[in-house]
Amino acid sequence: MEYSLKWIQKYIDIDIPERELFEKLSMSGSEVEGYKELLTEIENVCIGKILKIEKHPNADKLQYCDVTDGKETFKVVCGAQNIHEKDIIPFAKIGAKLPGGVKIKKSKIRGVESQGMLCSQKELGFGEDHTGIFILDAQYKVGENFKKYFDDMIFEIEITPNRPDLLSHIGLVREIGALLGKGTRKPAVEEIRNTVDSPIKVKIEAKDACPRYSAIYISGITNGESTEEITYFIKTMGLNSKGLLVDISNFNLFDIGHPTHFFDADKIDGNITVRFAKKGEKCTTIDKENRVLSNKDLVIADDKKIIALAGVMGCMNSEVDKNTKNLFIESAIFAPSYIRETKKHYGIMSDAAYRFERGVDPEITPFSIKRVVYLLKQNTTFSGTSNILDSYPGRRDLPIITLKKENVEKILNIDLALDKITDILRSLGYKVEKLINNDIKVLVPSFRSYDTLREIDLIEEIGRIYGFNNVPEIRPYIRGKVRTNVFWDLKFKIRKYLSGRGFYETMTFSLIDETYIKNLGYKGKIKSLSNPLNIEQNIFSPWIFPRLLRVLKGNLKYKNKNIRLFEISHIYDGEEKEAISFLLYGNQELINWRNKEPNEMDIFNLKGELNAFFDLIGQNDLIYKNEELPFLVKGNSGGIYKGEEYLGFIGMVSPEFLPSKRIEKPVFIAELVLEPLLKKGIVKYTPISQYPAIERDISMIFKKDIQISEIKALIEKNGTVNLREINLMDVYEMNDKEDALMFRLIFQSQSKTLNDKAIEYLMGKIIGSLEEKLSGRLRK
Amino acid sequence: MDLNSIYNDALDDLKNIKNKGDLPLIKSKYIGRKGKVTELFKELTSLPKEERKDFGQKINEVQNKLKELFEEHEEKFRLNAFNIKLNDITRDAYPIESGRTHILNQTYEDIYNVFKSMGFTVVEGPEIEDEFHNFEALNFPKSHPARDTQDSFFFDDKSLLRTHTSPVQIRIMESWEPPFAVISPGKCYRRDTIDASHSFMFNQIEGFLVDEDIGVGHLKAILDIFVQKIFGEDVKFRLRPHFFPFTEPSMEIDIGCIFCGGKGCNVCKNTGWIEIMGAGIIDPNVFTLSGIDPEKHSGFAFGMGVERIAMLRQNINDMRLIYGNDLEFLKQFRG
Repeated sequence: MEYSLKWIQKYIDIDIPERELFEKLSMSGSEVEGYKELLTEIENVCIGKILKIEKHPNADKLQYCDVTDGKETFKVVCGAQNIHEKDIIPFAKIGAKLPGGVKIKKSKIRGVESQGMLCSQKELGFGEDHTGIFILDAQYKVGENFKKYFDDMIFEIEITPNRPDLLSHIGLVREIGALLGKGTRKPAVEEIRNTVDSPIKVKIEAKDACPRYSAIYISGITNGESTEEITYFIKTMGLNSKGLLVDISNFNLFDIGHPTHFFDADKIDGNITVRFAKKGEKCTTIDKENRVLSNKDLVIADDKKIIALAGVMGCMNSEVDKNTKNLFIESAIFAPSYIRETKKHYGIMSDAAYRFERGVDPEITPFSIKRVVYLLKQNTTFSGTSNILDSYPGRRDLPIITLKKENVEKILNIDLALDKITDILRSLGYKVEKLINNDIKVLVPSFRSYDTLREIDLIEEIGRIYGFNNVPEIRPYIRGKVRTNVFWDLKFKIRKYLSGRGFYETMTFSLIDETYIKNLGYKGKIKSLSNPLNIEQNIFSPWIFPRLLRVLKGNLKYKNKNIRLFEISHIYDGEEKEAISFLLYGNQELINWRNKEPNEMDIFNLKGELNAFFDLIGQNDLIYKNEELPFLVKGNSGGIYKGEEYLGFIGMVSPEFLPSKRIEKPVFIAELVLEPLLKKGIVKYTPISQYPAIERDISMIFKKDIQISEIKALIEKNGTVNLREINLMDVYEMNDKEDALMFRLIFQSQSKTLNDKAIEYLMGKIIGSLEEKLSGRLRK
Repeated sequence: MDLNSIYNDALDDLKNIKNKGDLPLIKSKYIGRKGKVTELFKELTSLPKEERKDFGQKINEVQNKLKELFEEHEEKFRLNAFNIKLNDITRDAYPIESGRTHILNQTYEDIYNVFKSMGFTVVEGPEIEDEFHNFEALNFPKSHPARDTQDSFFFDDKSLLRTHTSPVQIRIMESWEPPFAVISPGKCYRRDTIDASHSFMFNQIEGFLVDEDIGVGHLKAILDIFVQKIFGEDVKFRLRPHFFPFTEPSMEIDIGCIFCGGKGCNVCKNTGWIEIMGAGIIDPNVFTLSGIDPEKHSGFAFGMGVERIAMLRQNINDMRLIYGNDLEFLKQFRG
């Protein structure tokens, strides 16, 4: 909320610099988030008085005035028509400065010298009114600096949800009084005398939702213009004047924090009932919106119609206007949860609802009426007032809390004297009684009865006033099981490794648009938002790679770059899990002076990266299978498995799914769920063979539909434990049906030197099985 | 054949050698197991006794000389194979691209290391949460204005994207016995429009410690270590009272402005202080709701935005850069 320092100063004298006050507020839990001085740019403007007005000799629309600053008289040309002799006005002398860098100089206007300027509100920078000169009351002393009366500082405080008592100037004054140890002035009130009976009675049906309803009937009132003081103050709160009656209700809201509602009594049919709306009942609120209500909405109704959404907004049918003669003022308390429900349901942001949904002091209602009547009396006339009508079905005892000194010590780690504790609490308005055993009985004031209900709440109060910064540091001894999160550690190992391999780690938004995902052919479960910010981000992403494709698109401006990306992120494809995705784009190597035309990459570049990555994390037995996916190029894609478990896919993205026409080279992607890749436990040493390794090559011709994985599996099976490695060394296309393949096998035993005979035996078995099972034939 | 002509033949062969691969052939032709020189040794037995010694010596000499020659040639071939050229070392290298871990993960790691060294365990939680863990158990009553500060994304089935990492507090308290000290990192989501300091997805690190008799002094000591390690030994910090539903008392932590040293500047809005996290003593209601006895146990919790820490430490003035994934940006942070 924003506060006016001038307003605050009506109720408390502040004798420290503003900055120091703001610091004290911030350090006690009311953070001052910003402030602005109102009249910083104004210099040398004083309160002046118009002595004489004559016609300008050379211009019909201009006037020529004698203006005094109390000492001297100045001749001033003025164009505004709203001035009269003896008016008190803001007078900018020669040399004065106004907002926007305006400097007042001696000048000639249509041949007549003008020694200064009479100012409008707008020229002074604190209003929009530029229709005429700003006419002041007689209370302003001629000759005084204008700033003495009108300077102000508007400061904003972040009021946390637990402190609704601070949502007014009086509330903040109370807090400042406690912080500075100073007394405060109470707002003046009018004691009510019953001079006319209220023709309107009030009945509360919804007692849970309306714990208290006070009201007063005022007859023979005159609505009118607000004084410039009231206008000024509500303007600091961002409101424009809407006539005296509405302005006073608004002023009171920001003054003491209680939203009252002014009804035109003559527009009320019969009596008032506080009840829930019937489903389908209609009303038009003062924002001119027609609303169809539900039975959860608390309303104020008369015998015929709904006249207000209780605590949220009044209706047009009972609004006060310039002809209002008789007034019915509602000064009620509504229960926060009901107000919130209605406010949220209709999306109404009103100052009243903001306060009721946080909690308003239930004891304030009669006081609020007396205050409003006082303000009305100061500003207009009326003929009679009724008694204060007051129903209080929700009266509750104020909380009483027992506070143990030892608990203050336990939580705040400070040994405060009992007197110090009671001093702090008393300064904040708590009534305190010392009991035996260092216990204190605390009675919570009504304006804190929403948030201070427990001992711990009082300990907080003591802590914030004493200052958490005065608490000594105590290094805790950290006990309990030391648990290592191996999965977290694995992810960081992966990040480090992949960045070393030239991959950039991205972090993209996990929300993505459903249409895009469906266009890619996604058929799995979708987790869609019911309240997305926009349709581009309306589901929880089931894949990471579409996001990497967009990152690629965003980085195409860097020409001749190889782009290698990876990202680890949560995904949702029926359940939430963590996945890793890779993207590879570009050439085998970067263009350089030795190689101006590097080869394009193919799928085996990414497969190689994956295999090295799998090796690093101890996953050497993953299986690739040729599989098709809707967004991958046929014959360039596959699934990756751990045994029977599907981990993810690898492949070349089909060009029609690339997000930019400027992508001119193939893009390779892979995506895998991460958790099955976690290898637990510590690696144990395997002895290194002391015996020679022997190489043998096999060249055989196979039909194209025989997969390398089948051939390798068969070789491996027949090669026994002594076969250490099988590497595909050459693929030569014999014709459109057959390929000649060369494999290099490495044999090595852990226990002996393998002699020629042993090797020949194994080779024989291998070749035999390839011939028999896969119809391979040796290449001559 | 006599020794001299064999020797001369060998020299001729060596002279005419073209390939490195021919060398072993020539070598075995003369001094191999069946080489011409070796064969001569066999003839020794057929010679008269008095000549044997003399001739034997000669064959030996020739054999050794040839060995030397072959070795010389081998060495010559080996050195030739190096094919050493004159190079200008200032010429460009063949480029090798280095990659990067993401700036936020670098920040995560730095923060994690501070707490890991103190004995905290890292625990991650789901990003798709239920209302109980995200709000109710954290003492956000239904229809309470405190929920307004964390506008949430809901899914059709009423689950939601967690608005903070604090639900992990509840999940741990439900399943572990105190004492424990945990940090919990991860992505969170709030319905904020993206601007220089907001993003609907952001990263948080939560920390909490539960034991017996834990108070503000303990929290302060841990934060002191954190601030020193992450921002520097000379950086001051302060605890400013605040409100969070799940801690009581609650506070925000400010550090002395690292840009102006506390004199006042744009970044600290002339206050000399910069807010870096929220913290407090865990509210007894939170303990009760997750099955821990608040009479016996107490603890503290704190939470911070990882983007904010990164932005402050690395002088990043716009959060959109962090999620922009421009490689030129990512490249600057070497982690």
